[in-house]
Amino acid sequence: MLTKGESGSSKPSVTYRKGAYRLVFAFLALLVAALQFAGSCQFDSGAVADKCPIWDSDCDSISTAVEINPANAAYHFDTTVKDLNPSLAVGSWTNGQLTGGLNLPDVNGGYFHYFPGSDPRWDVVDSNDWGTLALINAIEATARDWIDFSEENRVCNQFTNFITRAPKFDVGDMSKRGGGYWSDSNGQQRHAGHQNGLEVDVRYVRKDKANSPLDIRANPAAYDTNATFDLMSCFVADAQVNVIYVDSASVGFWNASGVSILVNDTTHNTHFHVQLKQP
Amino acid sequence: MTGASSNLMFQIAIGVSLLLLGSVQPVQIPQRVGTLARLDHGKIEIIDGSTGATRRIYQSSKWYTRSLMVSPNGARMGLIEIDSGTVSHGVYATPPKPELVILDTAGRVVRRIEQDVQRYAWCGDDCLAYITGRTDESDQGFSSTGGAILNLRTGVLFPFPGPPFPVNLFWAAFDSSVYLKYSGVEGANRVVRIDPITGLSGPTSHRDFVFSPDGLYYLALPATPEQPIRVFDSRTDAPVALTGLPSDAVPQRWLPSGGSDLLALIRPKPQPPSNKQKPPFVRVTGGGQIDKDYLVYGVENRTVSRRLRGRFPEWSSPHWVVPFISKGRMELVQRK
Repeated sequence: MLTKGESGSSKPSVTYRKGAYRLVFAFLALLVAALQFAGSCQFDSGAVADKCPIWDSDCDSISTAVEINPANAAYHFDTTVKDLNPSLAVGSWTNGQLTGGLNLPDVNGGYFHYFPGSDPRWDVVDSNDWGTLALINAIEATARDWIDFSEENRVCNQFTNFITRAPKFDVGDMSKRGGGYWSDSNGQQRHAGHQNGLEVDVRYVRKDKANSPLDIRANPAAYDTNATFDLMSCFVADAQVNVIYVDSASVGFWNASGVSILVNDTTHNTHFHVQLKQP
Repeated sequence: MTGASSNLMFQIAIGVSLLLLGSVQPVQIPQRVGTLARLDHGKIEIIDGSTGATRRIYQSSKWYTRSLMVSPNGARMGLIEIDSGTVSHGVYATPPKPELVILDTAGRVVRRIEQDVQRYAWCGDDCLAYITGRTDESDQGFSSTGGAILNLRTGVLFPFPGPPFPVNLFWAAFDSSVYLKYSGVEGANRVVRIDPITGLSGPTSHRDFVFSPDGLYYLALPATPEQPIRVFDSRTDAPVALTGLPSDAVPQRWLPSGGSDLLALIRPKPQPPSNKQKPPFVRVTGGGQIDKDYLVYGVENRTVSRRLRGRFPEWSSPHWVVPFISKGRMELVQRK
């Protein structure tokens, strides 16, 4: 035992020192190994790691909500393992198909899914809300940011906030399962586009915050221009948006200089149409 | 109507007072031009060309009104009135219900068609063609359920063939026919021609049906709004190359000159993107129409006949009159 100030030999024996060092080194080695093991679990065994976002437990860019959605059961997603993206947009928006399409979860904190009509085949659950992973992620990311009022999320909150605007935006038609040309049960064309899982219809936002139909040409008094501005800005920030079809005479805003995202279409007075870029 | 007389009538029609309530110099409107009217939040107002004064003749009590159209002889007007409908669980429980009301120039209702009329056209002074449908939130705005041609004088009704039923219609004055557009397989339209006198219908090979006044050409709407409107030859259904039309000029509509004069809008030059990071959109304040630059392009001879700058006020008039205001004054639009 060392004692300070005692005469005689004050240093531990060589054997003791070597043993102590060995213990320290062994402890350090164990610590490093343990850290490496914890890190490798995420990549090698697919175990949940702390750094995966809360909505994607396995960091595979497919949200947990999509993976556990019963409509996507055929893909046998595993929320603890990185899954491959099964979806593929084939062809173009107006002449294409959707293979391996994913179904958008019906319930979400930031969006409300609606049916635009009363078609017995296409306005029912899990009939009109299929898309590529890119489209699903675009909607879900926008929905997360729609209810995120942190300082970093300015793009989606330029004019409105959680007090002044609707808590959820309304998501309508995406693609039908498998994509392709889409006609209704009466043989009438439902959409010229929406064929390869890269497009979604979204209602304009209402001032009364209700998730209800809105015709901005017929009922401009109910139309929340600022909230819709923020919503479209949010989509553009969160996704690879190609164009958005709007009724330019009624929407209340337009492209900034050098921007060509918004395209006028007078048939889009009850909803706007977000089109993602081709992969 | 011959080309010469139609030109003269057009010149008279265009050279009339298409007033903007005092900001345009008033000009006499000959009686044969017919009725000019405008719709303003459910109010129908007749416009007096000689004084610029407007006279309210009808006030709708419905939730929304649209599609005011004057009959060819100006004696009647059509208007679609819409109830708001009801909503349950975020979707329509009862969709908005449109009705077509026919009025005379004194504002008296002479006929009401209550069958969910979504689109209509005058096919003669006493002839109405209309499409019915259930309102929804689709791109079309409705799901077609039928339609008919109705003679207001005799009451004779010719229902349209279907299902499936047509989604749009057009009255072609050049052959006095009604053309119907049906959704075709894989998006290819089907155009059917109906004789409003006999009710007989037959298929055509046309891809669309917005015919030029002389019937030689027609406009075909694109599948997506980024694509341009195309012109087709009615005789061959072949696309027409609009040689000589500048690349920044976008076809808009036919001019009622009796021929095949196409009005094209000159698109402003796109601005280069800014190097600075900024929001992609800007708020647009104010309202009303603004002056734009147009070309008049003769499809038959592939030449630009003149340039215009002005606007088309949202007024209703007989089909052979198109109101146009330029620099606060009326402008004659004619073939040279």
